[in-house]
Amino acid sequence: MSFRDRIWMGLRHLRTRSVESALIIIATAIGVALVSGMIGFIRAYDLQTEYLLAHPAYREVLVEVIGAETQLSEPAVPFDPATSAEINLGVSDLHLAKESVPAIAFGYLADATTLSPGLAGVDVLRGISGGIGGGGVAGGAAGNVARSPVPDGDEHLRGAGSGGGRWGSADAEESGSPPTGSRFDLEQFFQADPDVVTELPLDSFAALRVTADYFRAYGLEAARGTLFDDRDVDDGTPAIVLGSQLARTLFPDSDPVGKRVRLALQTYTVMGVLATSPLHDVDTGTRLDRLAFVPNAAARFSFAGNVVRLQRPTRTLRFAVADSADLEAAVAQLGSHFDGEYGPGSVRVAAPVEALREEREKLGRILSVVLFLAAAALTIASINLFNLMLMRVVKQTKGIGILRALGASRRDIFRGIATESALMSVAGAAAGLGAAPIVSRLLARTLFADPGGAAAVSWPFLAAGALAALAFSLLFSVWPAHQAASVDASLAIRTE
Amino acid sequence: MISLTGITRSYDLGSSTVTALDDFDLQVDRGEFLTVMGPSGSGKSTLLHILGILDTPTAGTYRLEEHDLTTLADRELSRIRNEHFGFVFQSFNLFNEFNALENVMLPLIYAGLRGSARRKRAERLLADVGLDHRMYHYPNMLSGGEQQRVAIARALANDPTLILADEPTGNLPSDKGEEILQIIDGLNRDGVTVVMVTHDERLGARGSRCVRLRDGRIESDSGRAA
Repeated sequence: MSFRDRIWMGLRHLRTRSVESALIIIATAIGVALVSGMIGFIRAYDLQTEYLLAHPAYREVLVEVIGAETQLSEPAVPFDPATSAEINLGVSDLHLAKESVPAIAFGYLADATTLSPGLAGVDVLRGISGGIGGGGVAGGAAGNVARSPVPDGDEHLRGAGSGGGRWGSADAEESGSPPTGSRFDLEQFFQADPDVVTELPLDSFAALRVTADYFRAYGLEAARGTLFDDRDVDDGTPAIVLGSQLARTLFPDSDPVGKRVRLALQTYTVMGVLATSPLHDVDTGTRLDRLAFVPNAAARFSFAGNVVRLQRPTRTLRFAVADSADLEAAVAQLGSHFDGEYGPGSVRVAAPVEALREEREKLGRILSVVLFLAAAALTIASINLFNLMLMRVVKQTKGIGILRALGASRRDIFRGIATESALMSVAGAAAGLGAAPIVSRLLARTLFADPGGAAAVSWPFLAAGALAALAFSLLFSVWPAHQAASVDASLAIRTE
Repeated sequence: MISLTGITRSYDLGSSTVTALDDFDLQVDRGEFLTVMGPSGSGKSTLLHILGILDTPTAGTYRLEEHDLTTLADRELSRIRNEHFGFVFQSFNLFNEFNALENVMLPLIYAGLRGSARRKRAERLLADVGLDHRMYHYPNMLSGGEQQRVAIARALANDPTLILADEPTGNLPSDKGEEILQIIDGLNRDGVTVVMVTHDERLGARGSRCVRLRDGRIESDSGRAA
């Protein structure tokens, strides 16, 4: 009996017993998907670990004031020097630490924010304009979400507005042209310049407020234009650098470099577009290609001849080493440095990689449990397959007897049943393999805030998992096939 | 052609042993039409299955032509069953998942006949039993008589030398039964040896020789045809 004939007969039997066949295929598919997905995920987990350990964020040392740690969900709040924390970490601390700590290669700020095109936040500014013009009280923020309320040390707000409004979140460096005592038309003011882009394809997009060392620490380079430098940051230059993908999204048909864009009441000039980068921002999980970067200084914007600064206080200073091997020394040296500056126990110095390692250890244990559960699921699925195949053999007893009468040998019967099992197992394995990447990705997304390397599907490992599960399910069909081949033909034919 | 000598077939039921055939001797000559009769439990079906090497005797010797079948391996026995024997059952025993043509093709598959040759042979056999217009019908679309004719065509697929029929008309009305018997008669006239088990005295008398069984032994034998 040829292989082709066995396949033909097997398919006919599957069609006749479609419900049983479907159950077996589904059971196999579930088992294969779980095992294959898990094996694929374990490989992805390894890749992700490698990715993260090589990620610049895990060569960082964070310095935070104790009791004033970053709270991502915390909204921007008005800054008042009189009530703020005593220790105000700022850009000057970065420079000082870089000079005195030899293990440090980079020092920078990197705070997440959201930018919105057009006139978002204009209502806030009305209050400011009122304060400037007629002594109203300014308050609120201009659309940005600050991650830390401690101000940059060198960027304290400078006096009250000309009308005597109490400083909340804004200040005017120059008082001037807004008409006193009359309502100032902000919309008209912001829409006055036709060269400024106020409408973009996105309602908002994520950005990082960084200092220049961030680009160097992350190895980011400009594909077009330039990146802003320390002077731009110090001067509060309203410049923006776009990630490559964000640039394509915002300006699909033109080169954005040199364009002026109104974002959250500020007019930014697009200074450059980054070269494509495989990195993610580990805090938000967003690819750097999809982010915008603006100078991390007190946000500054001008209108009607006034330069207004919103305080953007910083809670976290970020330092990075060039080589991970220097991390431990960097932590120790930074600890000594800040203890000397602010007194012991005032600031916390920590390397995120330590937390990552701890998290990895925990995840490793979770993975072992999940893998065990997947193996158990496959075993249960295989036992179900085994039972269904045995039941199938019992149901086919008479048919097996008839085939024997027609000239089928025990070997033919064994092969016939094994072929049927193989067809179902292969169908189940194919379906399971198709679902395995979903399982793998689901696990990656559930377990990792930043999937990084785990987002990639490792097909060889998925296939290996599918083959292993297929072999397992075939193994469980050997006994039913053997049982079928052992059927007593004489008794089988008499079976009703 | 066939020689059974001292054949015993007993079944071990744990606490007891049931003997279906007891030290049984039988010779069947080529071209004979042997009918086997006897009450239920007399060993008729067991004899038919041993003749068709579907069952293995507990003791005794079974010779087909000059070959001792009791010494052969399963693969060889299966080949002999496929090439030399054709079975016709009371309940037809067709496969519902295959149409008439495919049912007839099954023994040819095990014989290793390929593609179009297999199909042509099956088509001719179905035409011979008058079912050339029903080839693509599935068993549940055929009458009892038609199903049995398909079963006969299947039994004849590999030009067997021996037809083993177990109550072939038992599930058919008399007119359809008669049609089946005429086909079997015709086969026998063409030289095919027939062994037919039946309860029906009229059918028993239709063969060239009638053997009656009781309690696993031959009660009477009308004698070999010369």
